[in-house]
Amino acid sequence: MAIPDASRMMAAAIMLFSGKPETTASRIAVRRLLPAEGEAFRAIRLEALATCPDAYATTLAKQAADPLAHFTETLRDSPVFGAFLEDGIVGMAGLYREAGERKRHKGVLWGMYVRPAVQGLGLGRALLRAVLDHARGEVDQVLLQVVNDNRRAIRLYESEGFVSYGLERRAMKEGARYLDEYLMVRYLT
Amino acid sequence: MAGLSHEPGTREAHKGMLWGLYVRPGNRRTGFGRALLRAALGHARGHFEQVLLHVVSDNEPARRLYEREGFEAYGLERRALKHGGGYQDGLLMVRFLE
Repeated sequence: MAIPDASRMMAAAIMLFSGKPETTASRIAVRRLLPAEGEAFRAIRLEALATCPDAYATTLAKQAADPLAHFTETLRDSPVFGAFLEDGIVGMAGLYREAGERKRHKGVLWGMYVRPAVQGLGLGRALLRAVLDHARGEVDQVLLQVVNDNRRAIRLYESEGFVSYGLERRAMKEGARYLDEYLMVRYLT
Repeated sequence: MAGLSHEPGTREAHKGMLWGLYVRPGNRRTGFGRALLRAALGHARGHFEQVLLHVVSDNEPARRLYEREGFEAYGLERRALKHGGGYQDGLLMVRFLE
């Protein structure tokens, strides 16, 4: 009998909590995506936009129209990390550096996503730490914006040292709906 | 001078960013700053629902001007700018248009 992907992922989750972390750990990997992995990046980015449309400033319609070259160039120009479970990509997080001579000391975390079915395994934290590790030595601080009702993400960011420095009302608009966002920063120096 | 730009995100098209407001020091306190700001806000109406700006937090005259024209602070970004070995904090302000 074929086991659906989601069930295998749950099996991995159960092993993690039942005392076989090494087995699970060997199936979990977080690493920087290579320019040659544009297809995987495109797939997880479109999945993120389709699954959690309210979490991002970009829409699925806009990003789905971008050619593969757009994704390949992003991977060449800036670090994007992928979370892998059993060799399949299930999450991502990106970092870009602010432009401008006086803002180059700032990095911005963007596009953080972990597939809902595999949340709770620590993949989000691993992605965040990979971004922060890369950021150290490159920038003095990392900034991010998060929709203010995304409690789970906010808790994760706070537990990794991010603090809120503002609340932007009506930061994003979808149809007649507005979303407020917290501005958060993690100082590295 | 004063400029107005739009945000890149699809869900951020309702926001305008005020940038580069400048009046030559010898011509300050004569209303040029306010006139520039009002011209930018006048243009923004019809294009945007709100105008955002960042101002160095210890620039009192600029801050007062923005507050008088209806801007309110929504955040304080420590070390927003860096030059040489020093940092400057940035005050984030917004003016919602009708």
